[in-house]
Amino acid sequence: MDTTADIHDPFDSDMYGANPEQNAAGTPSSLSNATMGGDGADLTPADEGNEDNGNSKRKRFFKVVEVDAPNNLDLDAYIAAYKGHTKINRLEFIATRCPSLQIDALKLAVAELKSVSTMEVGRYVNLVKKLNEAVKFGGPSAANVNPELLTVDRAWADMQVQKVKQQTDLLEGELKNYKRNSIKESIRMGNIELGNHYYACGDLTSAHRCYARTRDYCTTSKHIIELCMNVIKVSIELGNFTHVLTYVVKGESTPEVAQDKELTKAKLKVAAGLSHMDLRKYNQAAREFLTIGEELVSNQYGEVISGNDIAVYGGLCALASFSRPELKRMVIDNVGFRQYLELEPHIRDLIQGFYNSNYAVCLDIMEKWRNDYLLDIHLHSHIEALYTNIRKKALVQFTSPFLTVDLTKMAKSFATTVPVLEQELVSLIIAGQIEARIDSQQKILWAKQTNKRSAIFERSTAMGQEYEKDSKALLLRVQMINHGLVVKGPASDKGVGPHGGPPDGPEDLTGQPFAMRLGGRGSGGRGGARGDQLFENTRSNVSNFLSSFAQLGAQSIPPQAVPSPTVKIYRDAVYYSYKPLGISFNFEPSQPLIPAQYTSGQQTLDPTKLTLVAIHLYKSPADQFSTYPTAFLLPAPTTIVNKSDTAAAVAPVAVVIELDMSKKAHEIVQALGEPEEKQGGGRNGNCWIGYQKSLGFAVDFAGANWEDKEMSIASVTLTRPGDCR
Amino acid sequence: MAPTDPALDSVMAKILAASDLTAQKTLLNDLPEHVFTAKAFTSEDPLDAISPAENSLAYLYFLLYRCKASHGFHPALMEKLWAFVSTCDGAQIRLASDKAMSFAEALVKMASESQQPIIAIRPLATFIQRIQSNAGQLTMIHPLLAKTCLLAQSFKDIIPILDNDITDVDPSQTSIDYRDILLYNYYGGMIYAYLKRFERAIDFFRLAVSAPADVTSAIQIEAHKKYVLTSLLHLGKVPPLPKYTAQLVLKALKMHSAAYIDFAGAYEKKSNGAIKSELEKIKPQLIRDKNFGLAKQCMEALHRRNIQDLTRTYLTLSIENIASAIGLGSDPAGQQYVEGIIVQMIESGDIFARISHEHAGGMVSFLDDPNQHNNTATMDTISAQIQSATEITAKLTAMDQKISTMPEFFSKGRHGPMPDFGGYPMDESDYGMQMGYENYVDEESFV
Repeated sequence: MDTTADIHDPFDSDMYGANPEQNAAGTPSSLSNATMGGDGADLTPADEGNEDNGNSKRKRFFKVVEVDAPNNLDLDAYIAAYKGHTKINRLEFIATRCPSLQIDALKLAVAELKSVSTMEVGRYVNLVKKLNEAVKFGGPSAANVNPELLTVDRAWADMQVQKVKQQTDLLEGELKNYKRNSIKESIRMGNIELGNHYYACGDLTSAHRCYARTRDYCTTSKHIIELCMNVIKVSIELGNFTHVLTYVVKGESTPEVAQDKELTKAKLKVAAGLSHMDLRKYNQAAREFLTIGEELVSNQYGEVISGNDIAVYGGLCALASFSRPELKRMVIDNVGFRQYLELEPHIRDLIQGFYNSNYAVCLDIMEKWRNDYLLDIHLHSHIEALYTNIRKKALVQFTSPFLTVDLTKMAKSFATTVPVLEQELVSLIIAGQIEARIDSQQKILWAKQTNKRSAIFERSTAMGQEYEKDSKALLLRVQMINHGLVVKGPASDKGVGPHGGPPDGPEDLTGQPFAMRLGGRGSGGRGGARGDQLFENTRSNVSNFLSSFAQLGAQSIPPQAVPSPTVKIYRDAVYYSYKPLGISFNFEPSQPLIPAQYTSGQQTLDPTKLTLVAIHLYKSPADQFSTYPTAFLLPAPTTIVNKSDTAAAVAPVAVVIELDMSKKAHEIVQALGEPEEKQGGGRNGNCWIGYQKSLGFAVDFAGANWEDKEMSIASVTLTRPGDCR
Repeated sequence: MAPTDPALDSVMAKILAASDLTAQKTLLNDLPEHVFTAKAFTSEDPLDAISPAENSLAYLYFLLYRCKASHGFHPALMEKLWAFVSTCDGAQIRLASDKAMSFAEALVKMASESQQPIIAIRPLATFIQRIQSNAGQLTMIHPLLAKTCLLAQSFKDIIPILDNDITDVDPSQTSIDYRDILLYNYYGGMIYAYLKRFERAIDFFRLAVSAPADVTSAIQIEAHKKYVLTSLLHLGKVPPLPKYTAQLVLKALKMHSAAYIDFAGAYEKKSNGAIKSELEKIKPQLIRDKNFGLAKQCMEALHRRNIQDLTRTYLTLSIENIASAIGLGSDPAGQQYVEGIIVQMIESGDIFARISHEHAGGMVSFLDDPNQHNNTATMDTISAQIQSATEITAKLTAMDQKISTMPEFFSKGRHGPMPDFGGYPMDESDYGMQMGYENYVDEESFV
């Protein structure tokens, strides 16, 4: 897995050139800028975006650190555990955050870059510049900086730049060559080498791209593991932890063949743990860290994490999220994890202290190490949250065995004041984590004496009432449905009620449009009922319907103009088309037909077996139909019926929309609202919009460009609302 | 006055002689209107000739047209009317429920014409109780009475009727339609809200909103708005609607009472600032919907609710701290206001507490509910509840059996758990075609 022979930095010279202000260090404002740049884990937009309070924490942190240095940090020993990018990243992270360690950290970083003959010249130059400024700014150990480190080794740098360029050209050329020969394994290797090179140069995005490309050329599960480890390595540095998690899952589900099977597993667990921690799922993070096993005790995964880190991350996450039994089982009794805890004895003491309810000791340890952890590249933004959680758990545990607790004493053992403690307790009580009440006069916390008997009586009474209410409502509902008392459009209910007054339909439209009469049996039917009634009526007897249609037509059109229909028969559909009228009726037979029998005259259609399923209205010249001559009505998108004579005035709602075939696309959408469905457009043919669920209405347009709002109608389909065919 | 009709006496005789009520009704329906308003030849009022209790049907017809013709109340008519509504035979009236409804409407009309809508209330309430075949039956007059009561703001007579849960809706007996059910629940909810019996109000509004529906009624939307506000007021949150509420209605509600839902969202989070700003935002709509009063009560209830929360976290707390905890600041006026609320809440039994003025500003000690549930009252409540639950269960079982013996049940059961494809039988032949088309579309949309 270790594909990096060289140790380098994630920033190329271009990037630094573009951000000159990053070069200044020493003032808080520029510090925070540099933080964003210098910390690979902080680079992602996600991290910046979702944690506003993370930023505020950082600000508070600066105050702390500018006053005193971390209590326990031995920089040389600390950083020796790491290798690769993370070493430089961590040093730079510490330098930007902790003025008292700034010069030491930068010194180490510069020396490290030089000693491994970095490919990342830009970063080297930049760090040297920073070091110069830090020295100028003064500070501890400013005097004893080796002057050699303060000057940029020009000749060496130029040589390195040259080398990088050559190497890039060489590898890209090779990859091209491999691709031409299309040998899978060569392409994969080429991509990996190029990726390694980019990684060495600090161009993480390009490296990630190269690594990800190898996915198509993986042939064995070993390859897949290699791919996963590469992508994980780059993604962790990029701070893209969701991506890390995806590849962890992928890696874990791969049947392993690698010899260092346990090591790979442990590494994947580290990656998963870091991702969960980044996503603030501390419980899951703790579980990952605690089950790593003994593989990484002596920093075998130094390019990402040290054994010490595992102890700290795992221990803190576990304290913040585990229950007492979990803590005992998964941490204290965990033999594997004990190895890590030996590396960080204070974490062991912390966990023991917490488990033995020595909260003062715990809080003391936590406070002592706070600054150290704030300088950790992964942990820093989680410290506040973890500490708060641990504290909350401590509070809950503290109170649990007592009937009464003196707040003054409790405040003392939690090193806080009574009012602050009271606020903390209140929030815990409201959240249901502590069952107690506060006597704010005498400052005593009383455990809540819940009378279980009373509680059960109250609960059962409430449940009984609920049951009665629900059952009654159900019974009423069933009765209503049985008697057909369902809210529906007035035209389909039992007519004008004894006291209902005239139906509030749009009377003034009666008699005018053709479709209206056709739909409403001359009664001026309401939009909502139009479809249903029309479709119901014809279900039984299509011949009656057709003749009545012809009759109705006769009233508004001269008799000779009523044409006889063109009948087309298919297996599961029959069309009666009146081309001169621009209308066509689509019927469904009750059982599949055999068209040949009808065309050859063997059988005649039995109209009573046909059900009307759709009406199509056409606009010339679509399908050789004439244009449907008159307007038609549709219910308004949300059909509100029954403007009651309520005391509370209800704003009148438009119930019917009148349309005709001359309408343009934008007029239809304006009248009916955003369509439920859209199809077509561009290469997919003409545009089509549907309102079939609510209105039983769909339009085919004579155009394929959605941007063209002046598209005219080609045809219109009316169905029973809800029928989607 | 219509001319005296010599035939009236014979008509009367015929009516009285009619063999059964259906025949009598046909006869009455066929009579021209002027007959009913005419004076009898013998100059005796036909209403005196027949008994309101025995010939209720005929009496109703005569009375109806009298009332229609009358403007304002006449003591004589009132007397007859009273005699009729308090003694009439419900079974007879139910035969002509449309006429009964017209009669009720005429009554309300007369009352409003005499500027005393309140007059109509008691006769209507009595009339309802006469014509119901059981106490849980909804009649067509229910909504009218509820509306009249609301307009007259007099609820004494309707409360016994409202307190009876509706269990029987039968259009064949009462000529009601869905609108009557919705309106009755809506008005009933408003009345209970007015009387601050919010729990009942919530139930009534919920019944209206969750009524079975093919389209959404404006009444349901208005009822939902009030449902949201009364729920917030009484419970501090909006309980979810029953899951059988029509999808269509839910969709319409999302659109039409969006402002209320937003307000409820802010209210449930209990943050004073957010609620206030949300309230300001929807104030115009609240005023337009005539719901602003309810919303204002919600704001007051918020303080009470916050105080109630404090009882869970504190045993004692100074009034000053309470005022600042519920966001009223620390000025003395706010403290006085808080103390007032606490006193009210103690009186109404919402909280159990004592206020002591031993310390400056006053200290409140919150106590536990003194009811230990170890008394006979609890026993009584529980056994009453068990009884009513048993009754309801019996009803449910009966209904279940009835449904499971209906032929429709079997024909539906035959299809098993097959999904409902909009009423179309899922035949392989026509389904296959549809599938093909859909697949085609899917592929296209992936491109």
